[in-house]
Amino acid sequence: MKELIDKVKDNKICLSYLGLFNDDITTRLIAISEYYLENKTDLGKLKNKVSLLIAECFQNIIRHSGMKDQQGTLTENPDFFQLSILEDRVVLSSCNLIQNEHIDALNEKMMLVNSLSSEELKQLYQEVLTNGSFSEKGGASLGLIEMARKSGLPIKYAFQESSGTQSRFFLSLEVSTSKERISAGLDILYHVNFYLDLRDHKVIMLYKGDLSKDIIVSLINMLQNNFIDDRKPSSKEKRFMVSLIEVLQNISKHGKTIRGSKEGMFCISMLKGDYIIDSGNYIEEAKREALESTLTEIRSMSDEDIGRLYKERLLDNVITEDGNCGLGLLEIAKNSGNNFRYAINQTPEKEWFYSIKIKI
Amino acid sequence: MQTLVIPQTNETPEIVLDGSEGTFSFAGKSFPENVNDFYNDTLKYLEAYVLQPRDVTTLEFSWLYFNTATSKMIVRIIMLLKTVNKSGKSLRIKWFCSPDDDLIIEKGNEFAELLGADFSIHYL
Repeated sequence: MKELIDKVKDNKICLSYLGLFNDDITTRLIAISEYYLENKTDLGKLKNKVSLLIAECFQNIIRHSGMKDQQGTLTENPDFFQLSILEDRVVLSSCNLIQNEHIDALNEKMMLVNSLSSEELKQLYQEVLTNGSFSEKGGASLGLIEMARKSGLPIKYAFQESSGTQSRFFLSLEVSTSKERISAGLDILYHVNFYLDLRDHKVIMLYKGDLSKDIIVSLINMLQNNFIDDRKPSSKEKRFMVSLIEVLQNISKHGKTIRGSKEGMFCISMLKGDYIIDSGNYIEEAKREALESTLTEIRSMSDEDIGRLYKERLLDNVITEDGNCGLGLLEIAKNSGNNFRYAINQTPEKEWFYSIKIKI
Repeated sequence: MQTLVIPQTNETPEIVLDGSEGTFSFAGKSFPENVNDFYNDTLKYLEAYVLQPRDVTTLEFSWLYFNTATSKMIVRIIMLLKTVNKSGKSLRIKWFCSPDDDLIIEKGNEFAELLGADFSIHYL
């Protein structure tokens, strides 16, 4: 996880998501973006623009996702969306497959919208809206024009061939508080390479940023959408979800708040049929020793001892005021067959950072 | 007693408390941020019920999955309803799950072993 997180270390929030896309996931992502922009940044006025752009990006991905199922390339080329919130701007990136025969037309549309001024974009938008069809200038769909208008910055894009008939279409949009129509962001190749890194590491979700209660609820719901809803989940999928919920709720309750934010990160990947949860967060120095001794104790226990201690704790009737019950790590140990690793290290800023990697 | 229905959400189960029939059911997922807040109304309802319980009380669980704090709340609910035994009334607990859902079966077996109630697992 560290090498991936290092690549997004300047992001206040970075959420990368690879997998199934539907309207409910759009809603969750918009909720995360709006909550964070409004409560944790000075970019609150970008909130509505960003929400609209997320919706446009998702519609674009959802529109194209049907063909993948038929061709069985979902795991090789998962759809991708990334929300990055930086100090002064928001960057949205996406990737989906398109048929090679559509590349030329799409390329023309992209070049057209990128060449127009905001006034010209407005005119084109109205023209397409009133005519109900494409303009004489080469034709750009409403969604694309809307993306260019709302972003106010050139849309970055790239095509990368994935097979003889299909290519990956990468798109990156920026929204900034600056009025200038100059893109300050990273080159599209950065997004292409980051996507390929995530895909090669079999990542389903990578998150870096605030892990306070409201954001966690939205993240869990996004993952439930991907794994659980609309079908019967396997026991393994349930063990994964339960463990992830314990990890995230633990961060939300015990993570250290630094500069008004419960900074943390997690990465979910799937390797050879196993789910890997990799998470990290800051902890209070006062809690370090107790946490370390609990982790060491559990890690040294046999499955039988873990089961015995779990049952003992289940009956102790202790639930703290904030809903904590002291069973989370034991549940993780049970679900993973005690297959987890952890570390508690001091950062150069003298903060304590706790990380745990769980295989289920 | 008037029936209390708490609708299901993405994080919490559907709860149907029918005190006049003595049947109480929980279905779905449960991982509220704070179990005390979410289950407060349920506990209050059941505390009132056990003062004048029906001859047979039936508690039904159909879980998709739940967090550890909910596990302790399930124990609390079962312990509370078990007090009907003191007045010569009976409590039956039905745990519904799929036969291939080893997680929920394991959880059911744990509660059955620990709580020693009339606890039966029903496969769907």
